[in-house]
Amino acid sequence: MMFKVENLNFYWDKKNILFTDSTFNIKKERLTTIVGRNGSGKTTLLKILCNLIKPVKGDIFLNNIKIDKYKPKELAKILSYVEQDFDKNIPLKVIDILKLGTYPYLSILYNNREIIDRIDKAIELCKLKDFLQREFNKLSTGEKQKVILAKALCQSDSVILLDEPTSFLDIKNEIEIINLLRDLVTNHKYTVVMITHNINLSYQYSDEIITIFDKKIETHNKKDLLDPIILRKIYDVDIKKIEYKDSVIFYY
Amino acid sequence: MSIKIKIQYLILLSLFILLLFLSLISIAIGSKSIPIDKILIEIKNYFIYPNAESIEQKIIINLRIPRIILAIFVGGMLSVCGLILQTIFKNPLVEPFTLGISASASFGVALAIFISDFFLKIRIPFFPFSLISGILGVSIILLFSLSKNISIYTIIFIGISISYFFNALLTLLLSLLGNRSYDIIIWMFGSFSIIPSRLVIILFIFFSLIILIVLLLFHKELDLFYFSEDVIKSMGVKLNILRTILLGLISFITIFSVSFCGIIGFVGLVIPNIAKLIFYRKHNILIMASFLMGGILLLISDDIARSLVSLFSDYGKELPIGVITSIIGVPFFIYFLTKREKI
Repeated sequence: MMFKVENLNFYWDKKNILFTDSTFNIKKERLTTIVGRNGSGKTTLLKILCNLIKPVKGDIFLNNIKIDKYKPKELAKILSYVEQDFDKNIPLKVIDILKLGTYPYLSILYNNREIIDRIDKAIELCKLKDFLQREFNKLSTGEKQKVILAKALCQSDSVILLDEPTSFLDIKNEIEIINLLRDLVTNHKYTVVMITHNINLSYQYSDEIITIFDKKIETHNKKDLLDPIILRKIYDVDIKKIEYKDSVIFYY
Repeated sequence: MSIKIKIQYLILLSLFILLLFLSLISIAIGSKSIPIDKILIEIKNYFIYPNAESIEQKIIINLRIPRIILAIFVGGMLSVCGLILQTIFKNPLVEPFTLGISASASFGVALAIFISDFFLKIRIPFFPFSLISGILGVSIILLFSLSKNISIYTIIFIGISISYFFNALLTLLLSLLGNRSYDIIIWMFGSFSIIPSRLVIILFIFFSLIILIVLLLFHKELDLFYFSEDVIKSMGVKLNILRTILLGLISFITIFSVSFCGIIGFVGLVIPNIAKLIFYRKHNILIMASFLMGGILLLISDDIARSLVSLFSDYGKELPIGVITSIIGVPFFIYFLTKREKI
């Protein structure tokens, strides 16, 4: 297990409870998607998993160690957080952004070789070789998202948590990003947790699904999405599906 | 290092040489002009026979050099402080005085004048009063900034509120002082005409250099501020501590400079923005560029302030330097803004 979450309770104020007594796990080296309605607390859950927000009650274990026991830099080396941002502006060159990604590894006695290796690996995985000297602000939204993902890879070795990484991308870029994430999980031992509203994407590419409804967080096998009752609960609308050979297409 | 970055360092080097050259010219001009070859001889003489003081030597060593060094360091540090604050608050309109430093320090000066006039009947020095009052005002912000879940906007609002609070107290004292408030108003415009003691100058330069070095050591952390607060935290930065250290250093040096030369506006707002338009926006480059450009602007402004005095010598009072920085700086700034859009 990558994450073990026990008895999670969270609210901003007592009238608006987001999660009550939720216990669930997130498996290692899997692609897990978080689905739920707007306002159900998906982003909050992601931030709780990153230790950016403290739960009101409950424990989060990362690799069997309580998440708040990690030193900030040690935690950063394990997991990186990619937030949802439509119009990010960073007036730096791509290569300098990737260098910033290695920030947790910098210390007085840092190993330059290790840092260069990390950056090279990220460049290779995200195919950014031709972009290194380009200014980030002049890239397209899809290219920007790839750079941000590469920066996250420079930072952490095992877990990447993403908040709707493809919601503002065109189809081609969406497929590229999601295939990249899939590749990280299948071939490079990464654990990916991402929020998405795209049910087809969630069904096609993820191994596990986390649902949030009735203030409970649960993990599901992705086959559970085929159950209309569960679908109705998650999205609060009727979603129909077409099954064709091995694949399923949802429509509404 | 790519060629572009090399060019940036070359520009920085030429700015540095320009600053040295301007300093030499600045020694020469003033109410009594001294030719440059004479300056070099007098400076050499000072080191060989420090006691055989000619009038020129006195002017150069006791008046002009300290004033020039102060102008460079005050201008440089104010614009570096502006840069760092704009970075921390992700807002190009923030300047060193946004956090209420000018108001609280001015209140200290007003209090000093008020106490001297009404109770002691002798003038007590402003410096300790503005220093303590400024530190008091800023420490409120620093206390808030230490708290973990406070956003940058809240900190700015607290700063502005503190500014209003001390401005109210200042206005109260000004109205009580009546005609005698002229001294405070002149001080508020900023001037290098009262040169502080040699110890104060040495301390100011010492702290400036230390803070400059610390900020340069923090350049990676400052670059991280291009990301959102959540991302910065998720990269292993203790944001509240980093923010408080940076704010503390900046406030300290701003209060220090305000305490002896008053409020010199504009430099801290505009120079960092011009630097951002010209240079690559990594903070190691921006810090050096802001320092050099701020130093140059204030040096030229002070030269003009001094030269205009010699033109209208019967008037006797120097022009407030803040006025001159704005008059020189605004056209430049607007020119750069129209050249390139994004700050």
